[in-house]
Amino acid sequence: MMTRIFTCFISFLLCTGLAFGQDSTEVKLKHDTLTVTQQVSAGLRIGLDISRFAYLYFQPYRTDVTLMADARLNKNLYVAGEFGYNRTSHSDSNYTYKGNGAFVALGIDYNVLKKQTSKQRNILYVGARYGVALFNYEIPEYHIYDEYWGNSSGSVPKQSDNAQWIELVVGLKAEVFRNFFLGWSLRQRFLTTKRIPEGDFPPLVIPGFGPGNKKSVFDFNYSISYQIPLYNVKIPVFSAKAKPKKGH
Amino acid sequence: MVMAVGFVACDDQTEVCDQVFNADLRALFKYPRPTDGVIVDTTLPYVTVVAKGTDTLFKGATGLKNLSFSLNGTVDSTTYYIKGDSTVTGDTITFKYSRKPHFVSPGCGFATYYTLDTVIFTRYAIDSIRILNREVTTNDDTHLYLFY
Repeated sequence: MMTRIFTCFISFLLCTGLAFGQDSTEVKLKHDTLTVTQQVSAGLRIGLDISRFAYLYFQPYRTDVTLMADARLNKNLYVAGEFGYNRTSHSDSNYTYKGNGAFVALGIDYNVLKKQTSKQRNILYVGARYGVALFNYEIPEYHIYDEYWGNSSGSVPKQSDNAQWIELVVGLKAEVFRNFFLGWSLRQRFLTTKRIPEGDFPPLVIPGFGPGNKKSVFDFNYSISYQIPLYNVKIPVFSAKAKPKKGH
Repeated sequence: MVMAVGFVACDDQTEVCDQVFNADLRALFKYPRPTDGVIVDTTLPYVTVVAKGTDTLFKGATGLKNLSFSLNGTVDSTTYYIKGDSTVTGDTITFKYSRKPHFVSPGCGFATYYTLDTVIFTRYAIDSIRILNREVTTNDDTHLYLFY
């Protein structure tokens, strides 16, 4: 069954690639203005953030999966977003922590790369996102060590929470094979929800945002993505107005 | 460069504890100057401190201007016996407080923070006590004055 679904999916990608992969040029003369536009293949670009897997080495308590997607609206503007899942599990002599949750971040990217032909689809972009995460976390046990009075222990029950943030992005995506892209991005996130009240404890990780005890977070991504060609976008490549002849 | 930036963003917060987070109650010794009544710092010449139910903290410590009382994080009160001079009778001070666990940082874990409720004491050598700050969350603050 899985094999059949996979075969159908690949067939769909190939068919859409053939259907929308044909670029064409259109020349229009209207009101003395000559406009040349080119139909460029566009679609839904879906990617995987492979940098999240590096976290397993640097921050072994984190397991993150982040999918990325964007779609071209016109010559330079893209609607873009990320969504994913995080599971955090940490244990040392001081405390044990368990948490998990999901997030979605939506926004736009604007391509600032000017010097390329209309058929080239590499982008150097700046963008912005608004992110929302829903998550829960708990401290099954903690220990406070006191050599003089004796140690004490306790636990903090599971609590659900949410967080929202604004994110600024700069990055690039390069088409290495037809419809296959590699890219990286740098991100600065600013938490917009209130800070954790004094006395409570913040989450170790807010899914999609990062450390739960910080108000702003710097992050980076490496992505590999595939564009499913679904439609064409008209890109203006030349426009000129005819000059009236002198003496008439 | 992007790789280097990536490593900066990947630091493991659970590895490092770079904060001092013992929360002791700190008291300054005060004395009204007989000539004009102005409150000034004073030094206790020969201090003995015993925490009730445990060992002696200080015996014969000289020249103390202040003292940090470690509060018992397993119960809601701690009693100390304090004697400022070998020639005077010592006093008993009982601190009553509420406790709450406080998450210091991912690297340090939890500490106990205290809110001081009342202070009960004998008046053999101590004249009075003034509470300055009821929240015992750091070692740096001065929480009360002990007047002799």
